[in-house]
Amino acid sequence: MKDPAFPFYAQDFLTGVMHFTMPERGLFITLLSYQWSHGSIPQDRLGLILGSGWEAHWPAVSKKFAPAAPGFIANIRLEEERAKRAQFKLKQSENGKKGGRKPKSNATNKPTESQNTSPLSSQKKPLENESDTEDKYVYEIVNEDKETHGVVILHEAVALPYTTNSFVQQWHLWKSYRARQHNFSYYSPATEQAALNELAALATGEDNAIAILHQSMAKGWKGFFEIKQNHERTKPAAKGKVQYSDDFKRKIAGRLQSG
Amino acid sequence: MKHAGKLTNIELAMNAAAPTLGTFAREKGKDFAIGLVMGWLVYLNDILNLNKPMTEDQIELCAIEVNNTFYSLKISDLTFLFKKIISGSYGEFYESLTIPKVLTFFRDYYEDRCTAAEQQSLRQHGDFIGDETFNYSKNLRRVLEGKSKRV
Repeated sequence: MKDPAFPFYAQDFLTGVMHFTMPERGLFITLLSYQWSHGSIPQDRLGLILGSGWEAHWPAVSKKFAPAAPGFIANIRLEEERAKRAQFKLKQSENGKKGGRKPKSNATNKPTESQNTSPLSSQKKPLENESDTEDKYVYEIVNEDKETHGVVILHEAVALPYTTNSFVQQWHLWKSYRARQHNFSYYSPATEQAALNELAALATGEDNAIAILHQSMAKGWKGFFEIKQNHERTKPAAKGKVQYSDDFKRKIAGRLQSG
Repeated sequence: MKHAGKLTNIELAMNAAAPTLGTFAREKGKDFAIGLVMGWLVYLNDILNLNKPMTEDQIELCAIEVNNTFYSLKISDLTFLFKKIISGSYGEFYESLTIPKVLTFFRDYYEDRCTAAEQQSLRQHGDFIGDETFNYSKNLRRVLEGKSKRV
């Protein structure tokens, strides 16, 4: 399937077109878009692609393109990006067929330091095609013997409040419960992150967070609520059962016995 | 309350051979009389199945007030009043009891009791006056002395 998007590095673009006029920048980005969609740009169709008045701006823009094939030009950087992206997709596909990352002897359940779970910084990660990108948000669950027990793949931009095995498992369980019970799944990383933030704000610690998830699942709830402590103590007396203290009863008995 | 079924009207309650609250206060002490009314109020709160029953302090204060104001009421009067309250004769009290409500019950009952007592007294007087038979043996001295008005 054709890739609908190409990586657009804003800073690189601004640096590259610093000396361009606005019409020239418009021509440049139009040609890049055409090249991404069609592979290369036919030189004899430039007028049709760019519209009237393109010749005036072509001398500056042409420097960004090189011959790709007889009668065709292309931007070298864009083609390099295309190749990198294709390689990344191939690697992802191979990893998906294998069912996840290979077990490592010293695997831990925490993401490595190089992985950055911040949503903002992670937005460009899938497009950069770095070798460890596919492992970034794949949490490996290991048992005490350091053997891989399973893999939970989370969304790319989600940052967990607690990164331990148990919390990851419970969060995955919560999402499965929501999907089965309420036919609900988080629409985007933002909604999932918001839910995690809500849980983190409500919980006093990891154990409390897991207890909150268990409580919601046990009661069939759709959201997170504080743990209800000891219902029996807060249960009001049944209607009609007037509760008077022992001191009061003793006082009445004392008065009746005083005669 | 087992014998409350015999008390079908206010006159029976009023004329029953039962001590009054004043009698209890005189013979057994004021604390005894107050404790008696407190127990009565506790039982009333319990039997009415209230959402907002009286508190302990309210019960004690109400009992003191009842003893101070309505010391002429008998135990049979309290029993009959209890019957009337739980039967709804004093209207709806919306599942709560307060001191003003309870004292209003007592006040209304006391008014009815006094009215019944007045009527009973008038009836008795009328019966006496209307009695045609002159009791000679009882009034012999007055007859002989000529002081009797009846012949």
